Amino acid sequence: MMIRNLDGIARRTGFAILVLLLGRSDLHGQVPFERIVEADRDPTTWLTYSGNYASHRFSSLDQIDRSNIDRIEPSWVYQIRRSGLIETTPLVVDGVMYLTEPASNVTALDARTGRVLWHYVRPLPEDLVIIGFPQVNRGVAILDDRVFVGTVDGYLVALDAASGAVRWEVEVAPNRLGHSLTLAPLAIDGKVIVGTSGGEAGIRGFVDAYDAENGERLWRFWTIPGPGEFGNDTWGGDSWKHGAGATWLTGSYDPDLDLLYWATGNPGPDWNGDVRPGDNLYTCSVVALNPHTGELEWYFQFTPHDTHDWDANQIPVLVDAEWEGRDRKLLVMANRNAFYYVLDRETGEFLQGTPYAKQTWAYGLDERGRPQVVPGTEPSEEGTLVWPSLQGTTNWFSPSYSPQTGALYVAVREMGSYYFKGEAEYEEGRPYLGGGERRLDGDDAQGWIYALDALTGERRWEFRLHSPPWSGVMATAGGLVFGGSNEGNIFALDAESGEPLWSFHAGGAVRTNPMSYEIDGKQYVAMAAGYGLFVFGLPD
Amino acid sequence: MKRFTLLVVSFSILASTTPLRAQTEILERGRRLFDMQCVRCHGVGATGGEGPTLLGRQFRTATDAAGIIPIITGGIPGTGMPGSWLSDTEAEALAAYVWSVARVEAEDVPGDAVRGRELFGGKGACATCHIVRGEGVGLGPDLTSVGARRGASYLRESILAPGAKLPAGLRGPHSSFLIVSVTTGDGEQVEGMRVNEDAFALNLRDASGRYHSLRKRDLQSMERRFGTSLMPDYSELLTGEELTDLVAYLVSLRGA
Repeated sequence: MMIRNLDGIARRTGFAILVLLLGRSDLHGQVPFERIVEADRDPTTWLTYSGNYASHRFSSLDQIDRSNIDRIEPSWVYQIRRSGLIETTPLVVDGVMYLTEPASNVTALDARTGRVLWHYVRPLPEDLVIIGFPQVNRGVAILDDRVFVGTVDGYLVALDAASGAVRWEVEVAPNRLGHSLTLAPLAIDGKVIVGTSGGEAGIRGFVDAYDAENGERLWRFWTIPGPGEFGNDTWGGDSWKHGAGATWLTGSYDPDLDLLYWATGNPGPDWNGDVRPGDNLYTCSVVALNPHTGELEWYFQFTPHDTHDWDANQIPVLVDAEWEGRDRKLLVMANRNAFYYVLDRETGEFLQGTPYAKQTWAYGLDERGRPQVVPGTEPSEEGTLVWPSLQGTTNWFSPSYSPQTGALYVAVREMGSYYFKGEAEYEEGRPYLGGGERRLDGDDAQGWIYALDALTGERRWEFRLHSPPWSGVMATAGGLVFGGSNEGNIFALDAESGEPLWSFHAGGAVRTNPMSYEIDGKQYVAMAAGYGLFVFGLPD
Repeated sequence: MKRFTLLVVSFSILASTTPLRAQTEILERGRRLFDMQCVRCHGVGATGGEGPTLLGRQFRTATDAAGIIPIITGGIPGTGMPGSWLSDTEAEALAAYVWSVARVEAEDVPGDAVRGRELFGGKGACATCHIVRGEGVGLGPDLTSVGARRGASYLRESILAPGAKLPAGLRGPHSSFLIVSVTTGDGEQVEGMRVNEDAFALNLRDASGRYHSLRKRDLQSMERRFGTSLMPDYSELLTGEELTDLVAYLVSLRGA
């Protein structure tokens, strides 16, 4: 398999030949940092959660295109070993697919046939604390000969990519306080970057870097500043101690600027802001960090003093484009709060922001990007009706940026909620919520795939789904956008027009992101639904 | 499980040692929470609505107030009863209130259930669309335990204006009983209950019980007819007294 796969890759790029020749004496899974940096030049692989460090989730494979999409068929299906929700994005390198299964298990498969190569089971403690989310995992990171997985009991584990054996494991943060790792780690030069879940448990969030070699913690950036640090005064009293700011989704990285971009979660308690007066930095923000030291370079807060659980744990997408006459390095984000943001990623300067779906909480954004909040939209005892719902206009599932069309494709949940304010008293390892919501569900709620102009946020087209989705999208050079639905459809739309070109009923809700790879000259598209990972390709 | 045991213990302690005034305050707090969170389905004063009355309620899984807490926090899977985000103390207060309400003797629903049963099978022809204890036709919802799931007022309104009271869908986020009318590519008109819908396909079940498998791209038109139902409006078919008897019969249906 290895030799055939080498041939397939070698046909693609000279760079890949070089890398693979260098790594030829080793077995599969040799992924030096430089190879991930150059991921765009070898689309046969999928080396990091969002496809590349810029988090485009774009495949430049074009074998499957608008003319032949209606002929693709399942090549194989993999059924997970234990029931649960699949939110993983598989990685594929040198003919091997690495995916995670609930709760924190890892499987390596032959990416051509779906046959299992090895399976790692993470034993979990009986007194596992999980607050505010299902037991899920969104994928692994790979670097050199290791695969890295975060676990719901708060550990980071390094596995041997060839055998699945544990190289090392380290406790990232104590699970008894509500810490869990559900995100796919981000592997950069010699380091593995992770964040934590637990935003509904009153944790204090952070971004961590670990030495990929031995698991030693290299630095920690607290998303909530401690006493004496800048921003601590944006928290009344001691509220910063349990202010959440979880970091539960994979960030992005710019190797040229050598900056790491990580999004942060809601403040705690979620719906009762009375106990935490102030802007609550750096919650609901994106932070730019020095990857060597963890020092903060800049931050931008999308939703100051959030009381609707509109965390910013969405994917920061890095785009290089001409902006008002000059080339700029941008960071764009379709945020959970219904606004689309364009920032300068060198400085954090706010360039533009505009609503991209129905929202009733802000008149707009001021010149610095701060929302002009509509009075009376805070949660209340009797319930306050606000759009979007607490799951937001979008959520963790990935958007996709196509350099071909210049569009950012995003799965949108257009739904309102009654927000309730309740009591909030912190207790270790217990929910710290201060309220809740009642959704306007059913036919009042809408689901969409939107194509937004990546520079303006203007909508180019929309495709209506039956209900607000929980799955992301991937654009390809074949002019397609792949996505999924709660009703079990895996589908492809025309990237230019949004016209539906293909759909497959997979028989179970889709709750993950699509990805694509190539083996032996054949392009595959993978997406999970129900308890299975479905892998499609053109007939042989 | 461990947490649940602890709650039970702490609640029992509360119930046995808390001074009367504090207990009154807890009940009052529970009532306020009920008014904010539960009234929409269980009705003002827990007299029932889309959800059942809780007056005189016998709980299958609870033998005291603490036993209601898991129902409040976890909901009842497969029914319209959702879980909640309440804090432990809030859930305890709400459970205390619900338990106090469940100790109140429910007033008899007016009407003659025996006559209602005759109407159900006879003049009302309800059994031509509904199954009760295995008998009838399965076009509309099975009513075998409808009295345990719905309040009398809701049942009455459902009979008078069926389209306004479609049961919220248990399959997915949408009602399975919504009426959808389509015109197919070759001009055929199909109207039926929406059994299943996604972005690409639609399954309807027409009044004869026949299923239709439709692809949206093949349809000329599609209309979701909110507020309508295949069930006839009974306001002119039954007298006021007959309606009261029929409701009494439905309320008496509490399972096989």
